[in-house]
Amino acid sequence: MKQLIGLYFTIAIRNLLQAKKRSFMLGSAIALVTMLHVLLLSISNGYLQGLVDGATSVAAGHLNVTGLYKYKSTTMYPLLKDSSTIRDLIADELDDVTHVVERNSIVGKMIGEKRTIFLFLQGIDLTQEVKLTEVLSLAKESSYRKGGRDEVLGSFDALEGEGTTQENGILLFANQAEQLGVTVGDSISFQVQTLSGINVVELRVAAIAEDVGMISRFFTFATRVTVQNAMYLGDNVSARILVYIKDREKAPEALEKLRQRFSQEGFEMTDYESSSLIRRWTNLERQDWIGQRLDLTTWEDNISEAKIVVNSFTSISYVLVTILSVIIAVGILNTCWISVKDRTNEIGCIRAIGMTSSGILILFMLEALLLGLFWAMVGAGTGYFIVQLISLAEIPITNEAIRIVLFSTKLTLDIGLGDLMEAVLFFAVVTAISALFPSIRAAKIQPIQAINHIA
Amino acid sequence: MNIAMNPGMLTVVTVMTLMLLSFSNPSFSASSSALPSNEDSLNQLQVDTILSEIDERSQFDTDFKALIYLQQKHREKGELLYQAAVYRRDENDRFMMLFRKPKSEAGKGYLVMEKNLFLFSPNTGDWSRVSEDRIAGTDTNLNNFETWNLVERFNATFLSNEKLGKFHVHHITLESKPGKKVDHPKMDLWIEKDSHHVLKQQDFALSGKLLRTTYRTKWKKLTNEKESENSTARYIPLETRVYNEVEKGNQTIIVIDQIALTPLADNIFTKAWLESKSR
Repeated sequence: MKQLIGLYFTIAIRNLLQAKKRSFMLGSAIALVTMLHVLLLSISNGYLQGLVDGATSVAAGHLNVTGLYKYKSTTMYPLLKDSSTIRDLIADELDDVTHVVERNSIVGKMIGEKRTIFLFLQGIDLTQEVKLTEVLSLAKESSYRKGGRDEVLGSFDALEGEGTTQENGILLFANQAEQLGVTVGDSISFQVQTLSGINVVELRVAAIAEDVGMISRFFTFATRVTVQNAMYLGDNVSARILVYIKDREKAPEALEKLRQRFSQEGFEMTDYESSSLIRRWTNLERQDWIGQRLDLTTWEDNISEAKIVVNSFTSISYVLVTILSVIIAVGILNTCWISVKDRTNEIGCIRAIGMTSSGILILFMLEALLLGLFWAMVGAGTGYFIVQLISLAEIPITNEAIRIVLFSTKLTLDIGLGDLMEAVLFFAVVTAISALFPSIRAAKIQPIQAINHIA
Repeated sequence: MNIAMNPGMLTVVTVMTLMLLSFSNPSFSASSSALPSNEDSLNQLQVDTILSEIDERSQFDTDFKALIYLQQKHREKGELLYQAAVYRRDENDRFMMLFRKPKSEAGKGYLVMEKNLFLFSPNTGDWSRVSEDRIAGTDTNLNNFETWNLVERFNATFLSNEKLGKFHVHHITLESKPGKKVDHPKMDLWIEKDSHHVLKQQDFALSGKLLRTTYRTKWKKLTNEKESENSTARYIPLETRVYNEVEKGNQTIIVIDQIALTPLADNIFTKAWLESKSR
């Protein structure tokens, strides 16, 4: 049996090598489509990875517990009272928590010399924000200011203040600094609606970080004390608790556990919806209740809207690759058909010396499979190489529209070994299936037909 | 010129007037000076009486309708001119503002319901609750178009007698009463001694930072056929200039015209009415 399989492989490989030109033409097409598939997949993977990294460090945790407070039925603020009690309940209920982060959160007008922009100011405690400082890196002044120095100014620590000189420090992203026309050390006004009326505080730019996609257009950071002072809040009032767990895929189960526990402990909660809080804000504000309610979301809920872009892009990629695959399949079918006709006498000979019709079928299918496998590997390998080159080059995206769509300021690609193997197998199988019909036709050829064909 | 019968011409004239006004300084400049100390200061009762009078004079017994022009100078957007119709029924706190111009804003409207301000966007057909602090993205707020309600919301203290341009004024400072929800927790008013018109107003943030300065340059006495000779006269500022002190360079001029104190239909103060007009 082993010998027979070896024989089939030998004949198939020899046949492919004999028809070098035909094999090369078909193989190049397979390689090209495989490479294209790998590149498109790497773009959507890179986009999704950047989105998840950004969402689960800059904007949210794997699980998010947000306090919503209404002093009258139509006005809602992100305020969480007795946050320490809620943190204790989280620690008690979940056993796979890696760390917990507590933040204050307000939206207001950042008023610069040039422009005014609306931003979500996050009040953070740097000692808790392990992931945030890992993801963010400070930007060179030249990246956000014309004629700026080619060096990084400020530091994360400056946010917390050095003596009295850095009080009310704020961390901006490069695009925000550029829009507002500020650099490290400048003062900037922040106007916010508090429970007691409008407040304006002067903030000092302590550091400016490189952009991390779309999220960096809306978020900015200061210490919790700065935000509490701006909002005239007490020490035990925050806005959100971000919970990080060992396996983020288990976030929905953890969310359900927490909801049950909070319910047992008598906390009022909003109805769960798999959507970001920003999207649901207006509806929640319209609901007729007063006081505090807890709102729980997972990291996936927070990126559900952005994921539509990933899914759309992936769908378009698959449609494109499917169309190309069909074209290739037709090409393979046609080529195999010609090959069967050309090799009718050869088929007759090997049938005459004892090869069965199923043997012929296997032989032709094996030829197509080997052709597809080899060239799909070549295509996947080339695609992987290009992905690595582009990733190393860190190509910046200068077009604003593309930046918004890709949620990134540089071209980020990501492809895994699993994705490559899937691509290779898929195109090898497509090639083999395409050759099925001509192979059946070849298998049905009788030796006598072959002799007649020669005559 | 027959203003009431020629609205097209009125629009042109109003726009030209606004343009001219925007390049001239207020008749009483921003600077004010304290009068000599021998001037009599106001006691608390006098201050409260003046505030009550201001409140009462801004509250109409009848329905109110007017055409307003908002000229906005925005540091990023440049100059914008809006025209809107305003409807008020003060006896039950009803307020409606329907934008007519520019074309891009036509059909947009504000409606006060149960002390909340709602905005209707004709493009999306959605209603949303919005802050009272910023009407149509300008530096004006709802208080620029409604009754004052100072006594109910603020505690007032007399500061000094001053001279504001050619006018003799009382400088009074107001702080919000505990538990009262106000946009600006602190406010300073410069009130003309004789007429008790509020000529200048400064709004402050919780931190004490000056947010905006407002000048009301022209006041008009409104008369109603129903009112007896002894009833309190009602006044409205025909021209208001608002200077944003935080976003320097932003300012808004409000001009009120075609005022009518005739009864309005009840359905005007409803969402359905505004939606029908927006179509």
